[in-house]
Amino acid sequence: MQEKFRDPAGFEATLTDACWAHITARHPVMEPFRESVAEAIRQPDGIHLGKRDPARRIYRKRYAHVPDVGDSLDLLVFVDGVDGYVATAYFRALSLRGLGDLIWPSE
Amino acid sequence: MQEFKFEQVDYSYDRRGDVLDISFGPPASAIALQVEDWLAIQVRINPPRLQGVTIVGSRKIFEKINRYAEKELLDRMRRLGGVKMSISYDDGSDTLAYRWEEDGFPVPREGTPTIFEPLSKGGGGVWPATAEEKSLDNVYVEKALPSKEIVGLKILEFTKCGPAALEGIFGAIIDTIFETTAEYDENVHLITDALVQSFDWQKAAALAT
Repeated sequence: MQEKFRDPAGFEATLTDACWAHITARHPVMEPFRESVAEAIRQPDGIHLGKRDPARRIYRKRYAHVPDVGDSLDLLVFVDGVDGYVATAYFRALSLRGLGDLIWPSE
Repeated sequence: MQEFKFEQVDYSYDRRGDVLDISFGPPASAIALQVEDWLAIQVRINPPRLQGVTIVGSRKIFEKINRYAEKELLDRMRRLGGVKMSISYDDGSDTLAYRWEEDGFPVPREGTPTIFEPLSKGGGGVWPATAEEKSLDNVYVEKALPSKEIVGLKILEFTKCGPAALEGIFGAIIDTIFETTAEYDENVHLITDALVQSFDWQKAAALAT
């Protein structure tokens, strides 16, 4: 099974069960947050391109509180900018260096 | 103190998404400390400890590591069997110390003289220093004598400077591997070598191809 989500820029991302299984196997904290991943794509705070790989789209959404995980966290969702495949997702507490170019919202 | 055994490293690679997850022990709930947009360190929530590393786009990354290792490292590298890293914090001096260990003994063996040198960006003291350069002000590498092999790392005033120092160290290592034009002194290169030689990059690269 796979789900498709359209971002505010009109790009369509695809989350497959296989990918979700991989994400949750390696990041068990993500288990209850499949819908949050969808929300981060549909209604992100920002969409960035990867700095080293501009073909990668990175969706960022801020959560003031994530139950059983922590406060003031960013959910990052990494999507292939060509075929829309959701590669991985995790909660970020701190960023040492910024994401790549912001492509949405446009300045 | 957290003991960090490299031999406990486990890998999982999602070929379709090109995502490599490296974990130190079984997967556990963790949140990310993002070093670069393609590199995240996963920190276990409870108890807090290093859980693993996530690399997005690892095929391209390991192509670069392979080239770097083949061209610049192989002649200096030797595999260290049973390497461990111990991390300790001294409340009195507010110092965080990393020490490499081999076969259950500190490297170097007890009685071997060591010296401490600042870990700094090269360039010869241009003033004023940038924030990135200043982040390394309280970081010192410990070297064995006479080999000058790096055996440890200390961060002074850790309560005040620790996060910036860790950012500086990771940034220097990342720049050394991937930004060959970045200027760092010999100690940064030696630290990068020590980490890269402790990491089974051939296995990781094989996973990513």
